[in-house]
Amino acid sequence: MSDEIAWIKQAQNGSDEAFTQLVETYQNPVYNLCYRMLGEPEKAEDAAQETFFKAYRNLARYDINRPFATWLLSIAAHHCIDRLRRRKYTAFSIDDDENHAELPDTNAPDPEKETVRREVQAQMQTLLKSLDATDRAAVVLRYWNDCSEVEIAQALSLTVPAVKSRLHRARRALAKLWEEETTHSQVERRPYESPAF
Amino acid sequence: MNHRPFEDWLLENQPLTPEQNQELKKHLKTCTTCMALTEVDLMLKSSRMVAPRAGFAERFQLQLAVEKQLIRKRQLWGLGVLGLIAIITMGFLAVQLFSVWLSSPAEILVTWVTWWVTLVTSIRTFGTIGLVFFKVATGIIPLPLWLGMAGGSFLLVLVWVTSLWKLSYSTNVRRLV
Repeated sequence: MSDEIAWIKQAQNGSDEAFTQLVETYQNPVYNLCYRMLGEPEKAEDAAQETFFKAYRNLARYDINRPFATWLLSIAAHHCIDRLRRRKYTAFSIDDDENHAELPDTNAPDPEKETVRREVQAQMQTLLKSLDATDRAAVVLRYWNDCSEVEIAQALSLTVPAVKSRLHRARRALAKLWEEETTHSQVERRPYESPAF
Repeated sequence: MNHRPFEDWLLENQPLTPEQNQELKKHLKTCTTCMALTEVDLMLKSSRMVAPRAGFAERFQLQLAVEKQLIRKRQLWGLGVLGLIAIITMGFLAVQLFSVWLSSPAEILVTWVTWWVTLVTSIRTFGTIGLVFFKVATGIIPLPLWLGMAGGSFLLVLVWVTSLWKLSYSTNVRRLV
């Protein structure tokens, strides 16, 4: 934490090396947020890079008493929401999911489990795309970045009750879709079952 | 017990007593909606972070260097254009000053007097036109319409001031973020 404050102060005084340290520290959460929001690795890379550029340009305005991670994630979330609203992304390319590296699992993954996990991740990404941009950002900040409701409210310029209500609505919507999907896949599987069953 | 309290427990993620846990488990066996809510919550909680391709920070540094070069170029261009404008303005002023120096005092006086006469005449003409228009308009347009127009103008100014204030407020909020 003290390292982080030192890097921020050095970066505010014009040190590019110090800012690069901040980029290295926060590249994963920022990229993950962008990826979960936009659904495509290339667009996530662009958005993450743009987030760091915006942070670099506005670093002088950053209030040192505020958590840097929340400030950075707030920039990333607003950038992604703006992009989603402007371009109205319609398709998530889940096939690209294989092309980027996920953080390694320290518990030596079982290949079979890993395949199942990847499938579940792909399903999760499909479910996420059904959410409204701000709801999606709230869910990503809550589950992937472990942000509290207060932090999410700060990051998304919302009130805490609004965040709570958005999270509830989003989780209900995801559950409804998941329920429909599981029912649908069970019905689809039936024609291949043996007539004896 | 109906479905609602169980859904609330799940959504609020509040700690449950052993009895409540038992009740919830029983409810989950029969309620597909709550089961889906639990499964989705587990899926979200077990999701891992996605990392960018290796060399993200290096790519950022490269782009930063390119952007800095572009900014420097733009600044140089801006300075060049500003310099050019300054030179042209100075040249124009110098020519004017030079021509004044070269002309006789009588010519300068005539030019000044002509300029002032033109200015005063123009102001008086516009004033007369305005006065005539006002006299004609007061005769044609009834008082309620005048009041309506005045009220409308006031409202427009109010909307303009409010939108300016709101715009500057939202910009300030964004700056804070």
